[in-house]
Amino acid sequence: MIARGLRPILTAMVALFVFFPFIVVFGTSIKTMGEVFQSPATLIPHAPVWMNYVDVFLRIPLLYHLKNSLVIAVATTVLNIVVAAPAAYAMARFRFVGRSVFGLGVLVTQMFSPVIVLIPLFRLMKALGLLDTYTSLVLVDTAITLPFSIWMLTGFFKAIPRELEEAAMIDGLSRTGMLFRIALPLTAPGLVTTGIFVFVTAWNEFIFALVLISNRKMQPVTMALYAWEKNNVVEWNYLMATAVVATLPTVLLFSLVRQRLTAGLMSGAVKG
Amino acid sequence: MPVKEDRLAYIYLAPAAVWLILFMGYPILDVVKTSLYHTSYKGERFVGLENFVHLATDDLLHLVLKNTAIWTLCGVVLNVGFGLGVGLLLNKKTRVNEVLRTGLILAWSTPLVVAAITWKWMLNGEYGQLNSLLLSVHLIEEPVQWLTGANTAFAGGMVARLWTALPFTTFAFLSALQTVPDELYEASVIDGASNWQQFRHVTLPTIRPVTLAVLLISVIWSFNSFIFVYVITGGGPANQTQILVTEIFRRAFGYFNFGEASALTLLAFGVLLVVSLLQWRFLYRREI
Repeated sequence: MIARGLRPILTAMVALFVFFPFIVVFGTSIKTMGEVFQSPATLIPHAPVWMNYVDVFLRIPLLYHLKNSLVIAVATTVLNIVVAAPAAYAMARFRFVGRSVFGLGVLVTQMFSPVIVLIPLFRLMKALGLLDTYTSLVLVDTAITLPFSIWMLTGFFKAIPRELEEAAMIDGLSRTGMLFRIALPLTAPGLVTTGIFVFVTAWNEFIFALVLISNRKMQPVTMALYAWEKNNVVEWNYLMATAVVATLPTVLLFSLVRQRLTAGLMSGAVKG
Repeated sequence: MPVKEDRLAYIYLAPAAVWLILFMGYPILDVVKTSLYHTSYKGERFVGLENFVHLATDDLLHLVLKNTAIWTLCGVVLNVGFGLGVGLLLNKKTRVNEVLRTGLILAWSTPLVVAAITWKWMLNGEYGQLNSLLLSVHLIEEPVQWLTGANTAFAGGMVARLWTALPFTTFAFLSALQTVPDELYEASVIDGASNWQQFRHVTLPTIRPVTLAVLLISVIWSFNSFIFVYVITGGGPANQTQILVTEIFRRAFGYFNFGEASALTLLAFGVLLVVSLLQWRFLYRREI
């Protein structure tokens, strides 16, 4: 498809585009402040300062931020799966009045930008006295990830051969029994994929944390990064060390399920 | 189907439906209501359509809408173009390609705020690595102040966004490209098809549904993307790079003018609704 001689050059350019920011992040994270503000910039420092990774935990309450992110992301993931799985199963297996209305509702809400619901949800959380609480972010993060996970799980449930469930029905298993004994175990990989997607989305969430949480000790790690950047003199080395720490969990989780994730996100679209 | 199944379906759906109505449906109604009020620190007061009238004559809004159109269009073109290009490039099992795929996963899972801040740092005129890279290969002779000029800052935001959006698009095209049967390529080679003819008549028809899906998703994601403008340009200089979602945020949380911000939100909602309905019409209806 692409002329043979051009391929290596293009590949090298794409590789540069993809990897360069990582080298910058990592290189900056082990620089001294002196080398951070050196012009023209160096890529990898002459004398790496690994202590930056220790110092950053002392300079800001990074452990608190990581704990906040973890609590919010885990709670969001659990709630999300508990709410989404039965709904997705119903979408995959039942015919009922209002089915396509619900489907359209899920599709439309999936397209919402967080900004669309930002003002009303801020007002709501303020009225409920939930500003500066985990609860507010968990409720909201669950809502914004719910459409996606219903959509993905519906695809995974549809992929289970109907014959398995018909056989179980003949053996006298109820619908609910089928969901728990047959459908859920068989879609375990799908549940894990969806769960990881939700976890990573909640971990990476920025804009709701920005307006709902102002108490520094309650802020997730994404806000800690942003706080570095808003200082008068930005300590880019510590900022980037924080960035590496904040990114590691999501990178590890995503690389576990990459293949299934693309398939899940594209399900429906591809077959249409 | 027995009626009993119907009832069970509603029980299964109920929690999700309640959740979505509470945190997605109700907010839209609240936005409609708020758009009819004048709000400030002191309180709110009903003003009818005043916010809309005021916005319609606001020169800044025209600029914002123009920027939003440019931002969305460029985002879609970059995303779909590069996604397809890189997909074609990676559609071969080699060790180098495996490394590149891993890099794309890394980029995909990087928190958006990390990506945005990193690109902002790279684009820094004095200490940024982009200038030092370009200077070292003599593509530029003087450091470029990327973030002070509106055009270069806007373009910088677009490229940063491409960096995070590219992985998904590439993987989507890759999985579609792998469904193209090898026999078709072999047959087209025997028929003496050129590379372009092969792409045009073998590859493209097979990946058309994915292309349409990626296109519509890109429109929505590009239109919605907030953080790259917010962090990298801050809408500046002088609102020259302000887009609709950042303008909504600015009016709401910068000036606490929830009324006007809500009126703008309705506009954004309308745009998203139209694209979603297109998506429903062309992609999903048969599925459900």
